[in-house]
Amino acid sequence: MPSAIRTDKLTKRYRRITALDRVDLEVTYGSVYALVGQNGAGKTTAIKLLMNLMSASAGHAEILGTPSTQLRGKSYTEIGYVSENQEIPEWMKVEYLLNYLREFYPTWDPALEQTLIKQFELPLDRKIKALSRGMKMKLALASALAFHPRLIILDEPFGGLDPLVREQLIEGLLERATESTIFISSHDLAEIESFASHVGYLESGKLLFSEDMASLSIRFREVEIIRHSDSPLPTALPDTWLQTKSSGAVVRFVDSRFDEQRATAEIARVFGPVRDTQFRPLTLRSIFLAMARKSEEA
Amino acid sequence: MDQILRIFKKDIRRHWPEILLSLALLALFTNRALHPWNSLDSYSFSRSFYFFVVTGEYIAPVLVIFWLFIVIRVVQGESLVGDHQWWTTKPYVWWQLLLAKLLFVLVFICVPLFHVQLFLLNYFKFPVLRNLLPLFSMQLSLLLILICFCVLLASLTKNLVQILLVVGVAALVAIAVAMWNRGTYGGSSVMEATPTLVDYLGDLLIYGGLAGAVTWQFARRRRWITIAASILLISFVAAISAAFTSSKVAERRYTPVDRSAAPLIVSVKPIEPSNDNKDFSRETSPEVQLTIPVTVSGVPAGTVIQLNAVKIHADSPEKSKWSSGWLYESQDFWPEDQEKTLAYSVDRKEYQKIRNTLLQLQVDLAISEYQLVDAHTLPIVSQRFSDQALGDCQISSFDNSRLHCLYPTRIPEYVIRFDPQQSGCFGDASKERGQADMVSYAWKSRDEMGFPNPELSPLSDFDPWFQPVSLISSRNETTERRNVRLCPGTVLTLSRPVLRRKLHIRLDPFNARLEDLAVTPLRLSFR
Repeated sequence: MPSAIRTDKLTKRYRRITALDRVDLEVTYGSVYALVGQNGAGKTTAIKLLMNLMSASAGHAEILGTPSTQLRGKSYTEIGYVSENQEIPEWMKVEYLLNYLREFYPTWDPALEQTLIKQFELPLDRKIKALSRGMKMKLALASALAFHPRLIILDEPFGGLDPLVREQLIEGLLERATESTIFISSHDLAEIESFASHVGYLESGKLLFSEDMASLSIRFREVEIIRHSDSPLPTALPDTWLQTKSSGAVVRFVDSRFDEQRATAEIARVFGPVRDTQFRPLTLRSIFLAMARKSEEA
Repeated sequence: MDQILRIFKKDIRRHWPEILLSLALLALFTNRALHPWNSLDSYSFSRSFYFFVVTGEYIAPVLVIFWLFIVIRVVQGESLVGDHQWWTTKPYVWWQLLLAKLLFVLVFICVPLFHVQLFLLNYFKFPVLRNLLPLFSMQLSLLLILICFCVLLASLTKNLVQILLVVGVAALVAIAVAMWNRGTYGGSSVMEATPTLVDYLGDLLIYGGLAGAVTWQFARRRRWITIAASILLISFVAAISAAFTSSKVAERRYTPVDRSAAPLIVSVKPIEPSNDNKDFSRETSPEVQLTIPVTVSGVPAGTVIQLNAVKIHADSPEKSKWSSGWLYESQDFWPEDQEKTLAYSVDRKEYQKIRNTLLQLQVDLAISEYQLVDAHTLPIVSQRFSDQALGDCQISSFDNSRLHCLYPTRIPEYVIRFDPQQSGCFGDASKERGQADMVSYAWKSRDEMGFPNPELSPLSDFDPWFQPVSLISSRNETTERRNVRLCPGTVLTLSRPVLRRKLHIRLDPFNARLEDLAVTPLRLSFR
């Protein structure tokens, strides 16, 4: 069975700047894939290439088995796309937009549309121009969900929204998660962590890792060691240790390839016998911050 | 088809105020077209802004500009530029989107205009069926020249501001090219032509390219590729046209004939040595105007000879470096004509070099011979009168040496002869030279370019203007004469000019210095 999204050395260059650098990505059907990364990491560029909104400099991408460069017209009856900077026709009223869109999609579900209108509390008789940013995002999401898309692509959907609206959007999204593949880029790592099944980390156009959340949370651990003395840290530390800091006899770091036996052996090799060692799981936010700081230091 | 109608209905819902305004402007245009004689009467009057407004001359350009505005708005409703567009990630089928936009143009611009055109033809009792083809041609011209170009421009830009910038830059480039083009500078232009095949090919490429660029941009939304391809195509057509355009191509269209076989006799009058100072080294004009007085005779009755171009050169090529080659010159030779003056321009610096040198000069003329057929008489009445060949006409109330006429879809070709000696309605005595009781003619030959013709009105208004022939006896006389005047009872002779042949004739060589032919430029002095 082909993947919902697959890229092969996908690259986008703007003159001398490489916005996306040979990205290999695979998103399996039914997964909720979160693409995370700092501002300018290339998340939006990646999504625009996937949606055929711009053309790649090199490489290849497939969406639902179709090359992304051939996505047009009917292909979009299976893809729901929401972006924070999409220009929705503001002259329309909410009801007219939904009525107008309804006829474009053979699988549009009027009952689901009504459910989403109620769930998102959309004011049908109001012009889109008069809606708040949060309300516009809810409308965009409602219009992207109402036709049971096989794939939902969301580009920074939670940016600048208040917590209540975020919660509503996530709820709406989660209710569809069983029938669709969701691909989402976001800074809101806390929210994403609650429902993403897979995560990819993009840094300066490069995909540093792409894996499921379970293995990611197993792979990253915060390690705290209490040594017998407060001697300085050795200069040669394993590459997999991130953000290594010491305070007196206490040393803390993030192990990015955690395996308890291997970690214990490495600690013994670097520090000799220690008084105590603790391994704590990390939140996605902490993992993201550790990776971001590592790249900043580099 | 569903999608086309869906987008079309959405556009109507969005643009209904503009649609209403467009229809209102069209109604104003129709109302003005119903009273063509008002504007015709003001034709020879001032073309000031006041008359532009009062006579409603502004309506047609305003209507066209407003249509272009609507087309831009409708196309940019689903902008084809940028990566933030909402519709580009929706199940729009590009060709249905394009057809929806064209349907809008058809329904709210072409069809209403077509109805107005049919109504106007019917109102003025011109045959509708016979004029259907020209009407379709006008609609097609409007679509190709204005709408298609506008759709392309709108599909390559994001908003009106970008369009205004593009138009501004294009206007600057056009001005720069016009300034650079020496042929259009200085008032006299070189007779040049492009082979017909190249002309047709160029038109085909431009119109085909325009339609192709619009289609490609809708299909692929690759703005810079579309722009680059359009510029390349225009440059290619311009380069091909420039490469094949020459005086030789134009000259080949005129068959050389001996003087004995020419349909007229033109002889250079004796050139009198000039005593004036003809040193123009301090003049600023890049050209010096030469004039050659000639006598004309032998034009057969029922014929008009049109002078198209003149070439004056020395008898040997090495002495002719000052010559400008073939230059356009427009004069008519009628059977009653006796003398004319040929005009020619040469480069001022070249003139300065040899102005005193006695040269044996040769004059070549490129002429078109027209046969006048279907002659019939037309008595003028005090009211408006009709003629099958001329349309509906009346004497101008501002200038009684003119008629004002209306004809469906185009200006017809005509020759009108007027002999004041036989009409008996002279005007008041005046001291004006010329405009005497001489035979006068008004005429127009067929337009070679019938397409494109992006007019709005199905009625062409024109004003046959009678100009007297030039008799030797009238030259330099300032006697009391009477102005030519048309009046009720005047009998005009109408005929239709048919192009018989284009000829190249060479006059007898003559000796002269260029400064004997040069015209001293007018100078303004300030004290």
